[in-house]
Amino acid sequence: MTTTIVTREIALLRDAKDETVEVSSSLMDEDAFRAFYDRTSRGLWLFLVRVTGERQIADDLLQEAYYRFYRAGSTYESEGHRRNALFRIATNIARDAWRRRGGIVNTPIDEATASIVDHGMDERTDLARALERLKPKQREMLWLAYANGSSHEEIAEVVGVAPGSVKGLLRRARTKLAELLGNAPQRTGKETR
Amino acid sequence: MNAPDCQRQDELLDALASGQWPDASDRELRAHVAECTECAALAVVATSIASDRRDIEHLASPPPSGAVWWRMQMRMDREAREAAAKTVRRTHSAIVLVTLGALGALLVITRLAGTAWSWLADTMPRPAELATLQHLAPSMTTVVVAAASVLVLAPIVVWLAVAEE
Repeated sequence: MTTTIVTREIALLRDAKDETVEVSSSLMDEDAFRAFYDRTSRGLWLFLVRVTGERQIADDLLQEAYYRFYRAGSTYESEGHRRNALFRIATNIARDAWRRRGGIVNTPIDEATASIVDHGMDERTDLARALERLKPKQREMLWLAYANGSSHEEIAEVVGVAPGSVKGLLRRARTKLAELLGNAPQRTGKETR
Repeated sequence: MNAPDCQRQDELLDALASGQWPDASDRELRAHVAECTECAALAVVATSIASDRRDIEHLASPPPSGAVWWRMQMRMDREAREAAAKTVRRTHSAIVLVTLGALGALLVITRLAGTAWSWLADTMPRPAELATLQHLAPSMTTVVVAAASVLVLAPIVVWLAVAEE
């Protein structure tokens, strides 16, 4: 049942991204911006929480991402392109923040957990802990693929890699995450048919 | 070199996307996933992440769009003011440098002109035409003083105009 709801949400996300929107030639007006924000902010916030591992940082980066997106005043062919541009900006500033903090890959789990609990996000999951063990790019790609339902082309656009390399990178990230989750089955001869 | 993905991953992805996985999916596909490392990892990861998103979605509390819009406008105004102030500061600095340079150049030119004029007056014969030129000396001083005044006053006027803007 849970899986059904989640996968339907992914399908809805995919449909929404294909809607064509009016092309803007300069900065968005208030109504257009607020409508776009209302459509995308929750998804972006969740992405940033899982990519950065900290709610407070996600809050700050969210506003910074929208500000830079707004200031860019770029023109987009569709809602999907506009959304990808926003996520690309958010991804870049999240990586900058990660570098400034010296990286969190090797942060002890207890510290990271305490950070989340301090901010009231006590629904710490095994997945969140496992994601912190991955490289930032792997976290970004996995979340985009399986939480947002992004295509390989969209992932490539957001993460900044060649479209042809997404499949392999995703596979390595999946394998690593499955191992961290402790659910990786024993290898058999049928794994790469 | 990367190993090729399992050919049944698309089938599994379809089952995941349609919500059929795992209970309503094909029994043979479930048996395959139980044995295939690639597909098992895909199923575990995709299900875990999608479920995690649903579980934490209620915690998502981005600030209201109106507040974000207002903060953006405030920030843009502040940055515009800072940029303008920076331009004014640079202009002022340029005016000061140009004025000092011009005054220095004027002093040097005046001194050289005076030296040259004295040398000419002392060494050259004084025909009647040259005597008339000597009357120009005071008027040249006037010109130099006027030029200096303009060089000093013009930047001040520009400075004040820029500062008011």
